Amino acid sequence: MNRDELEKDLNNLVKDSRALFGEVEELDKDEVLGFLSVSGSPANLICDEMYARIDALVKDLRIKGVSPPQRYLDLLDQLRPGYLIPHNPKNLAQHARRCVAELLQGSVIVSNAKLQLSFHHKSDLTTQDEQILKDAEDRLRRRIGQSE
Amino acid sequence: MSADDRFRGVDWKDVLHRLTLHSRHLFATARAKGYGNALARACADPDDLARAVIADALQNEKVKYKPSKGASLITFLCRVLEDDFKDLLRKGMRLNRRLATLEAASDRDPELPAEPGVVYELGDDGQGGKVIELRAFALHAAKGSPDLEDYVTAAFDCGASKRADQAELLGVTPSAITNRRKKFLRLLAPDAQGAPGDSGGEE
Repeated sequence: MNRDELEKDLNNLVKDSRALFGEVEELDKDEVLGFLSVSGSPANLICDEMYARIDALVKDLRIKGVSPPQRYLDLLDQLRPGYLIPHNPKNLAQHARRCVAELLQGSVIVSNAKLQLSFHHKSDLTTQDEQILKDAEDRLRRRIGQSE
Repeated sequence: MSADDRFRGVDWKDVLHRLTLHSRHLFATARAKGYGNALARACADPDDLARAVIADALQNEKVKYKPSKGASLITFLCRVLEDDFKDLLRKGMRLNRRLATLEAASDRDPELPAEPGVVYELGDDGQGGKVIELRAFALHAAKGSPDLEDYVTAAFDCGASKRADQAELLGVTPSAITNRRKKFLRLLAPDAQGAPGDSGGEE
């Protein structure tokens, strides 16, 4: 394969990937989590590793006596694992709010109610019922993946 | 506008998740098309590539992203990731060629541990491998499942690239399209057990 053919094939590769898997921009957040859980490390591990990488950069800057830019700190605040407690009171409050919000996750509560009502006194499953079960299974797998 | 201003208010978790998923899509596609050895030789990992793109964007004071012009950060970073991914493949292909030159006269020592992800049964110089069309590979992976075959036809032959268009074309819900894409990712993802991409050579 010469250079031009390789370049053409690389461009086609990206185009084909978008054709088969679609654009990540058109998925909602839950769908993205579902895709991640079936294709490799779950979302929480991905965040932990990104946090560790940026945390190392920030520590390196501080060792050199440089104040880390705000964008680094914003990312660390958002990705900080639940078991790491921030020392700054403002960050601590934000961290606590985020942890509580994730625990309460309104969408999960609503979907659980939908699941219970859908199968109350029911014997034969319709296609829609099976879809609801499939969605519930995906959510459950994601939650198990995140808690591991 | 400073780099801090450009990235103010960004949902980094969402950006990281979407970028990682896009990276996994590209890696799965590349393996399906026969670039598995090039990726293994470049020591590339999809999740690590996504992290590197974000870290580089944060470190670059002159990053060419301007939210004031209505641009999406995710779209911008996906394009950057695609360029970096192509660079990785070029690097892997160069290494393949270099190793072929170095090892032309000698067979690989069977006692040596295998490099992860590298297929040794077929040469890396293109003698035994060929570029595989993703459409054909996807149809093969579908193993006769009508739902998946219909999806491949809609995605590659009918020009329906958006989920809503594909759903309308096939007369199903958008979530059914999502499930079919998920099945393909499971079939083609490097970490999936027994994925069709586990064997095969490359050019």
